[in-house]
Amino acid sequence: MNKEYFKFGKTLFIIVAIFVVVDILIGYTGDWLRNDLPATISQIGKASASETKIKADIIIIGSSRAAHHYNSEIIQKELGMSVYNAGSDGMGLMYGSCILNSTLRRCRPKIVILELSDAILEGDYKISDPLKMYYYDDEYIKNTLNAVSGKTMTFKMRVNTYRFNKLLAQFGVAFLSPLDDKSGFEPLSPNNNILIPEVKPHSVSLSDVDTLVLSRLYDVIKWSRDYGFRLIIVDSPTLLINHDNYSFIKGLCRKEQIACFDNSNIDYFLKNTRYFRDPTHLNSIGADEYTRFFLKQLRTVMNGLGPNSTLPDIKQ
Amino acid sequence: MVVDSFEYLVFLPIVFAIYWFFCSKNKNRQNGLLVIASYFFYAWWDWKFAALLFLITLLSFLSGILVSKSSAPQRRRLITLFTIVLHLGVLIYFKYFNFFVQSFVDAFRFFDKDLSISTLQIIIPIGISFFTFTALSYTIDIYKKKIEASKDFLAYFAYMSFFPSLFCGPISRATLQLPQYHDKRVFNHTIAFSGIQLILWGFFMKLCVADQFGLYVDVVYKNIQQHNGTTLSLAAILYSVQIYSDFGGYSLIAIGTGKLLGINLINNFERPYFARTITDFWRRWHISLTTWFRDYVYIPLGGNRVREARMMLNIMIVFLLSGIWHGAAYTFLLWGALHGFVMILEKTLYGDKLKSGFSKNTILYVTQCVLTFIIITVAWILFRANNISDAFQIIGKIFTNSGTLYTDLSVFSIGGLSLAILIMKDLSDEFKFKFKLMNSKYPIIRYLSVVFLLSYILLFGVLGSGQFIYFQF
Repeated sequence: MNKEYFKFGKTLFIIVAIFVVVDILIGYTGDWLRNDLPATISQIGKASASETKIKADIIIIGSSRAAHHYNSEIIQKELGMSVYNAGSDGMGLMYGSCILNSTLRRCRPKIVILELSDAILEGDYKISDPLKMYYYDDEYIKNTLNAVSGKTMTFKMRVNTYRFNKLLAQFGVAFLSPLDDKSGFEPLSPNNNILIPEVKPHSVSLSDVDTLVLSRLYDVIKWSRDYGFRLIIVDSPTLLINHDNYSFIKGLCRKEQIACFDNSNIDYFLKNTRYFRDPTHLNSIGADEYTRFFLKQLRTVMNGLGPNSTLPDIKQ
Repeated sequence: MVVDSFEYLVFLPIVFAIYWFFCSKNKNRQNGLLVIASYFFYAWWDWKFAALLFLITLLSFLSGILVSKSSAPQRRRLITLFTIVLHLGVLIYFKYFNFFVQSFVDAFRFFDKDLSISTLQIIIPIGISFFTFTALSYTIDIYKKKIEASKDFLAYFAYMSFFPSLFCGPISRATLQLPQYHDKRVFNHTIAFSGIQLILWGFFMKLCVADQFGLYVDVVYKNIQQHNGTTLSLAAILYSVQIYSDFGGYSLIAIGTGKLLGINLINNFERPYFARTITDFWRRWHISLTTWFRDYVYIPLGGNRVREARMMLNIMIVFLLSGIWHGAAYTFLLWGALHGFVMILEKTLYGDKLKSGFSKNTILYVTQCVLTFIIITVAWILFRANNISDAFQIIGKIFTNSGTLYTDLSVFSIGGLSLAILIMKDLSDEFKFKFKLMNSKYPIIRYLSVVFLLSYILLFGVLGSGQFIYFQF
């Protein structure tokens, strides 16, 4: 019997020893690759860019609706300021605050545009995998990942293969076809076949809001004061009309004196489904049109007029 | 606790170490530990339902003793019937009550009569279909004198609640498995190592294939109106792969864990998509459930030893039951009916060839495999869709609404690579290739393949997705 245990123990020991070596090698390789990524688009490219190279006057953070709706080049051309769109597909405020935090360590933006809807405040914990690469380098990312994933995260992160989970393929894409236009804007192609699902009106109150996500919003607000940038919170057009959507954020912005624009229900866009890729995303034509529309709002803020009470005119 | 969680990766080594280092001297200690571990495992999900598992186990244990002690056939039958009714009653209450009530209300609404019967607000206990079927088979086998009733309380409780197979099977059969709990298990390093290999392969199937493709399938099925026929076709094919890898993966993790603890569980899958017919598919898919229905429904109904029309009816009854076993919804019933119908068709078309085998011609083999896979995939659309109307909309779009494929580069690249590895492994097992990695005669190749698999899972797997498809059943 003892012999059987010994044989099994020996087998396990050999396997674990080989795995430890492989794991260390993967850790070194991953850490080496991440700092030299040529891309600034894609989740891994944006995470790497915000940690290592992005310097811009205007930074846009948020979900896919940020990534696909704000054409950085148009803003840059009109305002003469450098712009980086750090929005990322499927990500919420947990991700956005991490990205902004790492960018702020290197640059001092003048304006930060946060694309945010009430729904995200209800507990959207999505956080992009590439952020795990910086677990040991960035305390804010470490705290966020621990808060989102629980106490076991500290143990899991000791395994390099886990830290680089799902990232090798992204490394491959980033190196083989680097999308590096520095602006971070990700236009979507048009789609002629859009069906609009029905949405039940739903208003978010303080009790619905997730405290962890809310704490990240307060972090961003605090940074705006500490680092002296103008924070603008905005919800871009969507075909999922929910008139109660923005009540919580509006209230919070009023209290904190933050510029806030609810652009989700603007008739001009609602009547033009050709501007949309799907019910919640504008296509490239819609994004350009919306960026020009938003520029007028942005100018009112920059001119010191503060958050607008009446929306600027738009050609109908 | 789910088997692909971090908690399980801590729980299993602890149980393994205590089991072999402190309990290996006698079977009672081993069984006692298994009972404690299994109830802890189940209670981690919901402790209240652990009591339900205990009651079902106790009921079948006591009725088994009563039936075996009784010599009067009438009394034996009565006790057995009573136990079966109670087991099925529990299953129906938790799983089917709301479905029956809703169907009843809908039927009356069809005739313009509104009934106000409220449905129950209950959660279906995880694994209820699996452990009630295990208990039922034990009760029936004792009545049929296929086995002796167990008088060893601990052994029977360990058998009924064995944690690896508790949530998703394989459905245990007392005739095969229970005797193992009546003897002390002896550690064997080769079997234990093969258990680790099976667990790893199960994780690979689940995390690298099923959950990768699940990302695509979920996006498409969540919004079928937005997607065209081309995308829906691919989603349907990927769901076929997903459900096999998900359930097959879980079964391997359960079987592998069993091997680590010296318990042999029934093999649940035999490369089902290499089947040449639907009849063949059911010999390879969810084997523990198929054999259960064969032994406890099909054969008692007369099986093949009746007139042809009756045999066809028997097949249809079995498949309708199999459909409803999976879930209380018309989509599952229709899924079962479709399989039953095709199986009847095959009996009519192929006759004895289904048993004696087909020609070994490669072209015929591939054609039959592809045709069978298409039928299975269409049936899985019924299985996966939210309702019948969605299912028909998907099938309709597949044939009429082609267009540009919705792509997900990450899913296609990692999922595609993982699928290629899975196909190679299944091909190697199906056609008995000489070249082996996991089972190579050279230890270093075996070790390296284990490390490769472990690293691959950690690097490419969808970690922390949490749920197995068959948990809902």
